[in-house]
Amino acid sequence: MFSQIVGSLRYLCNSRPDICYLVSVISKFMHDPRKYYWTTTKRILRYIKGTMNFGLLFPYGAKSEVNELIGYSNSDWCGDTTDRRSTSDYVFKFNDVAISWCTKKQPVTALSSCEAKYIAGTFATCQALWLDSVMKELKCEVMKPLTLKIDNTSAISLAMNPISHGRSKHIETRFNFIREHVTNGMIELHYCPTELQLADGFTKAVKLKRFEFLRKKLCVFDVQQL
Amino acid sequence: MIDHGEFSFLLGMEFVKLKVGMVMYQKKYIGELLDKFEMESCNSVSNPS
Repeated sequence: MFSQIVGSLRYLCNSRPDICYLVSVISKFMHDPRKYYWTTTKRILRYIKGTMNFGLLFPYGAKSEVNELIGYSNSDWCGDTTDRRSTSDYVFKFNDVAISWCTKKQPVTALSSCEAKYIAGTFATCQALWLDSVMKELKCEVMKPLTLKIDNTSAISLAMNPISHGRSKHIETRFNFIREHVTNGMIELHYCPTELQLADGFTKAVKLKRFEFLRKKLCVFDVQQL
Repeated sequence: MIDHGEFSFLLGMEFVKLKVGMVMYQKKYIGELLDKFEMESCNSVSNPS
């Protein structure tokens, strides 16, 4: 029963980025659903009951001269209390419309928040490259370099300077993938303050006001109020 | 191939065209989901977490 609910909610995530984080939280406990997680699940169901009419808006007139693809990548640090791994997430906005989002627990344990965000940036880079090739297939050329926004300056500097020093030697080489693409000009990294970080709500539970702000930014609106 | 006109329902997703743009939502799916898990008469909350 619990897995059935989780599965159904996962499908709902296709049109609702706002519940993505919570569904990912309850999915971790599919093998052993305790009373606490049932309460959480019920709360999600109560939330979607109240927001049945909400959906993703694709506004007209969003097409501009150049197509812009902006990614926001974020991560928490040691968010999982059992194995202390971090959760990374990203959102991609194509001409200001959210088209792709993901929240996923990282496969390795990060030692610092900078490292966690660096790894999250790598996952976002993979997705950005894939989206770019899909767009090419759809004859919808995207402006280069692709922009990726991260709210951690040290993670950005780590990716910009291809120098290996003592503090970053332990980061696995596959996570240096982002460095390669920054160097060859495919991706550009920008700092963005946490308030404007759209991927913020994908790694943690946020307060109502912030939640509503992020939901609006992710283009989730009530159909009846448009 | 038959042209069925503009699509409005696809894989549980509903599409409506409004003045501002097109909206993709899953109202019917949510209704069925709440029905299935017997939550159709619950009180709603505004923040899920």
